[in-house]
Amino acid sequence: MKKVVFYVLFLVTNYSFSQNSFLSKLEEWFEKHSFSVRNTFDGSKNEQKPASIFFRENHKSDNDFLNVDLAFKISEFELFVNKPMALIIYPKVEWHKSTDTTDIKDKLDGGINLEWIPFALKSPDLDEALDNPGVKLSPYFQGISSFKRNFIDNVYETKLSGNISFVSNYKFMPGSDFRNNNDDFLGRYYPYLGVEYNRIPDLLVDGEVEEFTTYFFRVFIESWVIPQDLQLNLDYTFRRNLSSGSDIRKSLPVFILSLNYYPGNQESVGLGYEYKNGYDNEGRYNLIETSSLKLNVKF
Amino acid sequence: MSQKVIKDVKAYIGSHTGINPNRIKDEYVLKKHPLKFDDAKLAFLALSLRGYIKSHNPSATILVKELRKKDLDVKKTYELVIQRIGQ
Repeated sequence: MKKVVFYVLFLVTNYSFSQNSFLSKLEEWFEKHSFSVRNTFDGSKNEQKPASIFFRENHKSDNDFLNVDLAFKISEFELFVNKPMALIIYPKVEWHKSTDTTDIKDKLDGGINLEWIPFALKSPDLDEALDNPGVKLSPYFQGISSFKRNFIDNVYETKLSGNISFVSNYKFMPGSDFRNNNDDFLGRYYPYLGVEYNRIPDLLVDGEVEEFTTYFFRVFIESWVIPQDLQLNLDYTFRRNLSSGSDIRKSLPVFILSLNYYPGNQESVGLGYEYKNGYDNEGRYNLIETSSLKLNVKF
Repeated sequence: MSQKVIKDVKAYIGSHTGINPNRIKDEYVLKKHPLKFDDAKLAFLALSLRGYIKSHNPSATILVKELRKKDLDVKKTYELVIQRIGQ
């Protein structure tokens, strides 16, 4: 554990104080080739969450383990480029691995995601001489397809999901910025409402396929306790299994709190702590309670 | 005319962030402190600037991914808009 912490601090320090470091050059290459790296591209817009490799302590067992959450967005394609709307499609590849014996997983995931923004957004306080079309509160639609190879169970899984969120420029509304008198960004929040379809072989019983649909309501809050340096994220999802024939339990809430530290006025590499309590939809939908120390990477 | 475009682009950025446009500096990176646009907000900024560009040059446009570049700052943004308008 001490070696992990030392290595993480070394990487973070190296990135913070050396503009010619390996990570800086990697960052430039990613930018040039329109790659993005995050924790996941699950349509949640907390794709402000960085990708992470971390060491985790499981509160429900004596088992400590390693965890990887890595997602690549490989460029993006936009339609309706001459309209006051946007439809964006992009392929993604994700890898989620955990050696926790209570929530073991090793999944490689590929798919196509889309974003649909049907309206422009009005702004308050805009110069009256400028055009200000659109709506005060705009929907923001996201669709996600995932075709996963589960290396633990040696099966293929399918997940299709769609959700709607809302964005506004008006104070206290979803997506609007909270700032102090110095214009420092303090945070914003987003609600989500969505539906998911899952087809997962061997999820509960070997040889049986669990096929079920859930709806979910989610709130994600991003805040900066210390502007530029210390980020606190709160993420609560209530998920409900709609399928009567499924053996998955009906209510599947999950709560995630994460604290991320980014030294040196940059946000590409940082040190983080994450607490998760609830039913993990990236694993076996079983109840977990974990704390993690992690290295965050976001390009 | 370019000075007016610069002022207008900063007005749109200010209206999407709640920051007074007069306090928006050229070196502010859209995705970084203090502007801190996320990808969703950048999509909406792109639609606002698209409407603005088309009001000057109907055959031009701007893509969402052009604003989502990691190190795009305010100066590069208004230079992009000026280029699209054709001034």
